[in-house]
Amino acid sequence: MRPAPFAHALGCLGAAALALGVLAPLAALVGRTWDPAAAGNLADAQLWGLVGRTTLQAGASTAAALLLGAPAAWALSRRELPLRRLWRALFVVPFVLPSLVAAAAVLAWVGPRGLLGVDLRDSWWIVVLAHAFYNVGIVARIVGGHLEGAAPRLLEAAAALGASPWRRAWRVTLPTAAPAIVAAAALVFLFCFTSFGVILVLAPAPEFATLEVEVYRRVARTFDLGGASALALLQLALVLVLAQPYLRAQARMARGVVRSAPAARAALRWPALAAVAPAGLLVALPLAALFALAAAPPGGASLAGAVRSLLRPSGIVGLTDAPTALANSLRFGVVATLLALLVGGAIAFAVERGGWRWLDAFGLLPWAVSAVTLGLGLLLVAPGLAASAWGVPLAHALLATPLVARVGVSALAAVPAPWREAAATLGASPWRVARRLDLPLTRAAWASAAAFAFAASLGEFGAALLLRRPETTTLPVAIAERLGRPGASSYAEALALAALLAVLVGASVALIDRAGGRRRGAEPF
Amino acid sequence: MPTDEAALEIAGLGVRYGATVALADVDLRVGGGEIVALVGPSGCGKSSLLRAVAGLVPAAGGVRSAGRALHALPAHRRGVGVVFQDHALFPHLDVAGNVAFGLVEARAPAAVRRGRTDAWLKRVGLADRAGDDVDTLSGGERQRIALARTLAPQPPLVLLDEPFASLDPNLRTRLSLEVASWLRELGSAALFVTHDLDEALALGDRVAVLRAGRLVQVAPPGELMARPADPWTARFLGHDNVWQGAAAARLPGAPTAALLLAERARWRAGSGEAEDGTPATCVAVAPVRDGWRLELEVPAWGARVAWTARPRELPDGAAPEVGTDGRLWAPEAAWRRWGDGG
Repeated sequence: MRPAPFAHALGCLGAAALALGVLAPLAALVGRTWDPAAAGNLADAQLWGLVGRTTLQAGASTAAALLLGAPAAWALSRRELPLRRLWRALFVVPFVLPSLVAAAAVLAWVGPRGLLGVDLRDSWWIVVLAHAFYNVGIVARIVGGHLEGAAPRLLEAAAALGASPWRRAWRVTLPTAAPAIVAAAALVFLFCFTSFGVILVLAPAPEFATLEVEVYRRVARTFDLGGASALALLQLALVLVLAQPYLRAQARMARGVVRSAPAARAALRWPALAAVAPAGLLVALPLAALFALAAAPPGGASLAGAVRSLLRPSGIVGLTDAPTALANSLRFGVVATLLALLVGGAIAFAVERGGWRWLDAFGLLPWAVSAVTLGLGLLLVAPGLAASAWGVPLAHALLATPLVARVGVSALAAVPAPWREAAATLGASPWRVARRLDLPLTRAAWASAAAFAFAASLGEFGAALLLRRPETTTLPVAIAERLGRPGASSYAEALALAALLAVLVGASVALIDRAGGRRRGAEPF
Repeated sequence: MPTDEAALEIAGLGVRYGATVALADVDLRVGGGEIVALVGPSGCGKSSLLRAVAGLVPAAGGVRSAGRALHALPAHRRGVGVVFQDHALFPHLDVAGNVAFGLVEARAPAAVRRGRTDAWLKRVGLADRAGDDVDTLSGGERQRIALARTLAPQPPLVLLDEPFASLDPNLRTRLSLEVASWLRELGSAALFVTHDLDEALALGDRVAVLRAGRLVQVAPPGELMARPADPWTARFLGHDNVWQGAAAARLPGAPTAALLLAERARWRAGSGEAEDGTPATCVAVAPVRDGWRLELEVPAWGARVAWTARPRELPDGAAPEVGTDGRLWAPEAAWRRWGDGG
């Protein structure tokens, strides 16, 4: 069928939004970098040490996440795994958990005043541990989902051809899982390489800084916008290079999938449990520590006292009171979600119904441009707007747009062409086909995307921190403010706010996702 | 009943997918109320022809219906009904919602819409399923709803793409006869694709044969079977006794190619009187539904002829033994020859 005219209009809208929201800020960064005053920043010897350390850190973090996540993935793909639903739910948590909540949870576990009684703050251990906690679920879900879809029939065929269980694992399971393992590893590496909130809270000493942290520090501490721009562009270039293995592995994954009904399998309850337990505990324990310490804070503070002081207007400069931060977060979340739905939806329709294939890749740009970079770019290109109440929601909308577009594209692509052809031959114009077929059939996906976009905005930290004004402070920033202050009462307040944010994010995903209807929504990865 | 005004006039229709030519220079006329069956081997372009007429693939050439030029119009403005092979029912609408879909697009008033939907549900025997989810329908029921959905807006031309392919044979026959009667009731013309030759011959006022993207022949069923356009078509139609080239050289009239319509020929065991028959020996016997299929060796023609013997045509109603000599009578009307002016 020919491209729909309305889809072209939507394509123009989406492309314009991306150009204004992402390309213009990037251009401003380039302009700053080429400013002679900023020249020489990239030749800095310290800089290459920074890149090297970040690479090693990301490598170690990825290895840890893979080591624990891959066995868990294998266990998840087996039906006889005890408590299967619980583990699956547990591994979705990191997909929506705000980085500040993750950091607070790890702090509650192995930080000063932590539940375990060991203080790992400001060490490589806590960085790798936090990243493993944060990313093990991503490995388990990506690899597990792939194994579940692909393996059973093939394994039966291999068994019938005489392969023993070990030979089957070696010759069938591992090769079929390989693209998923590579994809998961590449994605986790990218996340750890650009890690921000976790590092800022758990290892604030300079030697643990990632490029993203360094960009923020140059803006916030020394107002070195030229140097920050140069670093941001370097990071963008590295991310674009590092994203290639992920994109390639993902394409291979899509090709390798043999969808088949799950087959009956031999009882492997205990090995499966043993494989999933380390990863499961790694996710569960910090979260448990967070809620336990939030309910009963250490050092003489109490939850009731923390809540009382949170509800009081804060008299301290640089400490936002909780009601303001909560109201900001919710308001920004709603605005950002609506804008992301509009722009991401426009991109998805243009790609799938208008034939704007290039917009699909172009729409991923906000993901490659990190949150702090985007915030910095907005600050350079439109200082007034970035400082206004619109700055943070705009940045959040841009950051959530790829997610909405991805979910929308795959949902629209899944509407079978014959249904749309049938509707057309019954007299429905392309616009009517979109209204009577595409929208109702993809409602669940849009609801899902909205839920994830809202959760992402609630939890976003980098851009919100960079663009913060006292009156635009969000919950994650309020948490960071309190974690950065000494004293048991600030700590108790931070934990209470982190627990609140975790509950808010979980509830919004659960509620909006359910409201979408009985069809299952899509996940963004 | 067929009327004079053409429900469909195709001129020079061509479809290509990249470098592959799916359909080339097809001319076809379907009269008002006429049912034309479209047959051909897999991949010959049958579906492409339907999709081009419906406006679902870009095509070169002209498509007109009742004097209206369709080829420049997008699919939703052509007013051509299409029944898809896999039904393509909308899963988010109930049974009645599916049937009413086209009426809503035609902006039919609510009363008309309801009345027409109810009438069609009754006609296809599914009035009690109006509010059901389409997922709960059986294959045959899904097909009926797909037909009702297409026919409810009363399109003057209906295209059917192997509409009964997924049904079991019993249901298939019943439903195909019902569809033909509904079409005649509406006075709608139809072009339907099928790979079942019996279905094409039973339902089509005319049958069109498509080969590698080109129309080979369009003729009423009787004429098509008796006078296929060429040896390929004869074989495609299921004729056994087709010879070409050297194999045809010693046949009566020495044609370059020939078809012997076995049902118009006759074979008798025994030497008999030397009438105009040709000596023919039975070399193989196999039971078939209505008798025995004999392989007859005819030395004079240098050929073997397949011939079906019905029990009543045999002296004692029993199959002849292999090796039985006899004579084969093939009147001129049993022959179709090519390359000799016949």
